[in-house]
Order: sequence, then C-alpha cells, then structure tokens
Amino acid sequence: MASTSVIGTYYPVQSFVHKIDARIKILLIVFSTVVLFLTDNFFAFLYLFLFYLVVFFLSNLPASWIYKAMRPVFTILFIAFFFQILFTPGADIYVKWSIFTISKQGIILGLTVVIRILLLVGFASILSYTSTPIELTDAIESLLSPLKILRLPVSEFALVMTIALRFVPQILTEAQDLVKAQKARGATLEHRNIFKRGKALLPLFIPLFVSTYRNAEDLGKAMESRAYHGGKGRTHYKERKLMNRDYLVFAGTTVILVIALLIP
Amino acid sequence: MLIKLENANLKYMEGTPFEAVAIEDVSFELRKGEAIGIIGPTGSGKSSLGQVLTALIQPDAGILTIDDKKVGAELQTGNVYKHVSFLFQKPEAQLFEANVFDEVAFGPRNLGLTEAKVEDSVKEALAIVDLDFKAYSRRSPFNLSGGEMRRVGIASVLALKSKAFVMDEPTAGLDAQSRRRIISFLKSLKGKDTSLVLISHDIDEVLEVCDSLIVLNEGRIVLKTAVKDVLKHASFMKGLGLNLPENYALASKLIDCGWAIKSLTKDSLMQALEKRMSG
Repeated sequence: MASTSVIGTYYPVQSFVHKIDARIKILLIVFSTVVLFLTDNFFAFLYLFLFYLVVFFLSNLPASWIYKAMRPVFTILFIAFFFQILFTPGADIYVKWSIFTISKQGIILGLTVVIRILLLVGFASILSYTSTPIELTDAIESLLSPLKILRLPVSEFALVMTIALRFVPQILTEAQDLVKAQKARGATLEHRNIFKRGKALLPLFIPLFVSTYRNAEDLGKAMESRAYHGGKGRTHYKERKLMNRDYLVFAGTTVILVIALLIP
Repeated sequence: MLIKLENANLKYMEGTPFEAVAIEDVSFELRKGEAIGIIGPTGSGKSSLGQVLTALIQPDAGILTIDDKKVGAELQTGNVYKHVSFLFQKPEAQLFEANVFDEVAFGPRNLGLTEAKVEDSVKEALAIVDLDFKAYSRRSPFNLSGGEMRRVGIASVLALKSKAFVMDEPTAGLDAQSRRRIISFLKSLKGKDTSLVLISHDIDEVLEVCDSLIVLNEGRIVLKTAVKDVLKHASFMKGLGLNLPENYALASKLIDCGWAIKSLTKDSLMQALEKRMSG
C-alpha cells in the first residue's frame, strides 16, 4: 500500500455518527476533553476507552483506523512519558540518579498523560472521519456566531480552519513526493546524529515551505478573482437544523461523560 | 537487463473507500541503450509505474531487478539512484539550495565525486538545458522564472549521469527552444548507451525519441509495440483518446509512394518535403 496517511481525512460511509450534526460532535469533543482532564482514575479511563470503541464501531470505520489515527502522536507520547517518569518527584522512589528520579507517582503521571492524549486524539479523529470539512466549518461558524456581536471575524476564522484542514492531506502528499524526489538525487534524510539529521531535512523543508506559501498566495488570488469579500452578507446554500436525534445524542453522551467523573 | 519488473501490483489507500489501483500485473524490461515510451490517459498509472521502476515506491507485489540485482535484497533501495535516476514531474518544486551550482551539484556530491568532476557534471547538465554556466551558477534558483527553474530541476537530475533515466513529462511547460534541446539530448542518449524510459502525454515526442512504446490504461499494459509499427494500432489508440499525430499517416503514405523518409516524425517529414521542394 503506497500511502497510509489519514490525518484530517473524511471517511465517506453511511453511519449513525456521520448523521449527527457536527455542532453536537464538536461540543461533545470539548466536554470529553474537560472530563479527560478532570479525572485521573484508571477505571474512568477504561470506561471512556470502551465508550470510544463503541462510538468508533457505530461510525462504521475500519478497525485499523484506530491505530492509524493514533500513530502520528506516538513519538510525542514517548517523549512525554519519559519526561514525566524522569522529572516527577514522588514519595515512592524506585531509582534516583543525579537530577532524575523514577517514582511510582512519576510512572502513574506518565501513564495518565499518555492515556489522556491517546483518548483525546481518538475522539478528535472520530470527529474528522465522520464530518466533511464543509460541515465542520459551518459548525464552527455557527458555534462562534455569538462572537459576531463583538465584531469578531467569525466567518473568516471558520474559513481559515477549513483551508487548514483542506491543505493537510495536500501538504502531506507534497512532502511524500519531495522525499522521493530528493532520494532520487541521493539525499539521505535519516541520520543518527541529530545535527546531521536537521541539516539533511533542509532539502525537504525548504521546497515544502516555498510551495505552501506559493499555494497560499495562489489560493488568495483565486478567491479574490472570484469576488470573495469576507463573510459579511454571505448566506448558506444549506441551513443545518438540529434534529431530535442530535438532542438525544447530546444528552445521552453528556450523561455518559459525567458518569466517568463519578467513578470512584 | 538493466531494469526488469515482474508482475507488479500497486494500490493506493488499500482497504479504504479511497482505494485506487495504480498498476496491475505489470511486467517491464529495459535493456542497455534502449528507449521506451510510456503513454496513456490521465490516471492510467504512468507516474506510479515510473516510481516503481526506480524503487521510489515499493509495489504490493512484484519483483524489481536493476543491473541483475534484486532490489531490496542485493541492491538497497537507497542506492538505486546510482544506477537509475527518476525525474519527477515539475522538478522545479524540489529546489532548495542557495544557488544554481549547489542545486545541480547536490546529486553528484551525493555520489561522492571529486569537486572537479562535480563541476564538470554541473557544466554539462546546465548546457543541456540551455542555461549559461557563468550567468546562472551563482544565482538563487528561487529568483529565476518558472521555465528557468524547471530547467535547473531537470539539470539537477541529468547531472547524475546515470545508466538509465526515467523521466516523467520532462518537457511539459517548457518553451519550444528548451523543449527541442531536451529532446535532442534524449535522442543523443542512445549513442551513449544510456537507457531511457520516457513518460509523456506528448505522443509525438515519445515517437520521436523512443524505439518502442507501452500504452497503459487503468493500471494495465494494453499495448506494447515498436515505434515503427505504431500506425497498425492507430485505431486502438484512438479508442483510448490517444490520437496519433496526422503527420504519421501522411509520412507513412509518402514512404509507401517511394519517398525517402527516415522515420515517421514531423522533423523527418519536414526534411523530406524541403528536399523535394528545393530539388
């Protein structure tokens, strides 16, 4: 299989989760984030993980995409875990060397951070797999619309979000092509020495920045040539209305999330 | 055999709703000094095949052999560039060095050549793409025009002086003069025992440069033919939206009438017509 990157990708199938209004999904993601940071109970994490699995399978997504969604954060998690373990002071110390201490509390905190981030990425990936960029933009614009009273450019902000989402797969594809193009000229992009590795990535990053800025400039010109003048006075082709199903999902999920906080 | 690919299959995004077959059961052979053209409609798998042939993409199934060495076992994929070079579409997008000299010298330096040999390679490669060494070598590639950047990108691959080049649309977007230069360089490769795989939308260009051609459709090879026999397949190719240039039919008829025309290309036809008119 030639390409496996799925970040920012919408998965076009019919499912119960796909049908739920994106505004509800965004609000529930915010709630689940709050709950994940309010609890440090491992039973609550297990409960939330089981809930995540239920939502994932209700989304009619292939099981392999659970791993694909979480894979990009593995390096960050690895670093975060070791920093927590090595620098967290605790009462039950297993190993102490110079400024480093490995304690029971450090290990627990490290695991808590890893589980929190994995679940966060998991829930957020369901949002992006089951909502099209247009649905997400409309949802963000709708949720932020009270800020229009303060004359904040809500429509423009929503548009910026959509464009960012829209460009993620394109930039990844360009990066993959650039890696191949530079390898075809004998570039070695992987070095054991961190300084050499940094220098070796220049043939990748410089052209990627150049093309990203060029694409942004072209897109700006193309939008201006099609008379884009900001969000003022713009209407929507399709007005999205919340349905009974959306209210029920919102209420049900909120209850499920609150129960996670009550687990002793 | 310089490049040999056996029964290769490649799918993109397998197991997702975006799954797409890039190439299916493709076998391919390229000998020393041979020039093969790959043509086909958009999305037929031409570029994917080119990247598989240079080990830039690993196929899901199939065996690639380069210089009689099995890629992945006897020849590491990271060393394939020492035998076969791939020129990407829009090579101007890969530029990153501070000046044109360093950009073109990037490949030869990676080959471990001495600075004197690197300079020779750079001079030779810039001459092929019609860029004056003195005028351009110290200029930033990012301050050049789009066409000049393209030519620097092409030169940066030509400077590798490989045994074989796989080129994906090398002349697309170039002005007529630069295009002619690149084509005459490609034709000159035969005399140097350098092999070529030319991927192009321009059938005329492929027929002018190559000995034989392969037509891809929906990832499969649907036609393999020598260039001299291409007229026999004109209607089949037309069915795929690949119309042969009209000068081919005209040149063929004139040859049948006894005209001395070397090949079916536009240039040969023009030369024969000029000779007749002046004589």
